[in-house]
Amino acid sequence: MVYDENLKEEFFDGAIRDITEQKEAERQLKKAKEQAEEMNRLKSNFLANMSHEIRTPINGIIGLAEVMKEEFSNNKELRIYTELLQQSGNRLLNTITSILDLSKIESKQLNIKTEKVNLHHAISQLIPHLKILANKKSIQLEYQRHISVDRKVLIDPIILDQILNNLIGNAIKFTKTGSVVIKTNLKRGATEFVSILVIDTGIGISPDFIHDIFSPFKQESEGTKRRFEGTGLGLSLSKKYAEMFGGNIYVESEKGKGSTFELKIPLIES
Amino acid sequence: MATRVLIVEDDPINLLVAKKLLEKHFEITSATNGYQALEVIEKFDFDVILMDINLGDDALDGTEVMHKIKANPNKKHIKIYAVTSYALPEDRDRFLNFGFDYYFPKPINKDLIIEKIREDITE
Repeated sequence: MVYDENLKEEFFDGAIRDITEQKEAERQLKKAKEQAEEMNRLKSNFLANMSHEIRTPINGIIGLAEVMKEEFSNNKELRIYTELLQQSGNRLLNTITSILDLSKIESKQLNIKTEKVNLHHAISQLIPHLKILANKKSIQLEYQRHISVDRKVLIDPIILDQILNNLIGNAIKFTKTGSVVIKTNLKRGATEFVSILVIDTGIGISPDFIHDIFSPFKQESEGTKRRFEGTGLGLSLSKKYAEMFGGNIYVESEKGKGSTFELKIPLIES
Repeated sequence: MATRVLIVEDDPINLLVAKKLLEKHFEITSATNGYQALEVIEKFDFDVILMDINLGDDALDGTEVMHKIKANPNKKHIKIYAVTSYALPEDRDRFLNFGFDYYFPKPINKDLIIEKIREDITE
């Protein structure tokens, strides 16, 4: 307040700042945050419902095929058809599960358990099942155990199985002749890592495509022809999973010669 | 005496599947909603209940039915397994924590269910 010579109030001096805009911005920001949280909640609910709504009819499809297999066990042709029906049902189920997993990772809603896992046990229990796949294609499957795999890693055992199945399964899928070798190694450094190499003599990946190999939904194709079935979700999921546990997946490949995928996971200090 | 199994399932196709896959191994009764399940359980005795969770709108869900059965001292011996399409990774622990004796995700694996019933119920 400024006064005149008679000490009468003459005029008011000061700065009045209009903060309407600032208040409005704060309000908008709060609203946006609430909306994002609400969207996330809706998405999570939607995923749970989708999963439920898809599994219910798939149970009908796969289950009825199982019933038919039992009822018509003496009819060879029908038995083959029902087995194919089940295979298709199971593939559909795996695809749906992968898509849901990917969206859960992306919205950071995946519930994971970490346990101390012995890598050698994890690998060797998958081998018999994978050997069957390899034998069907007359491919050698070899597991070279390094002493480091007897140490433990901190990971969700179900997810570890998923990654290993994906890498080794892919190697078998994309190899026509030759072998798939699983080699394990210790990598020293500030942190100790175990490295699991999956080396195949398969079709390989072209240099143009190798950068896209971990992007979801992509599979190398020639024009519109796709020679191998699959969603192209497996590697993308596996890499995301590995990163969640402090690890990573790398690839080296030569078209026509084969590919090597490397899974690196930090070891627990022993 | 054959092992008595009650299947509670609202979806007619999934009920048919479960019945067909298990009827050669156990004595099967079925109910298609929660209230019907409670009525049947009141009248007859069972060894195992395969309980679907989502039992249609406006009805009791499988978890509520399970709690009502477990609260009845005369029915406490019945093993109740959740058999459900709620099959996200966290669902197993969720249903076991609710108090189910076991959990089977759909699509059902007939062999695993038969094995579990045989393990729990010694005739």
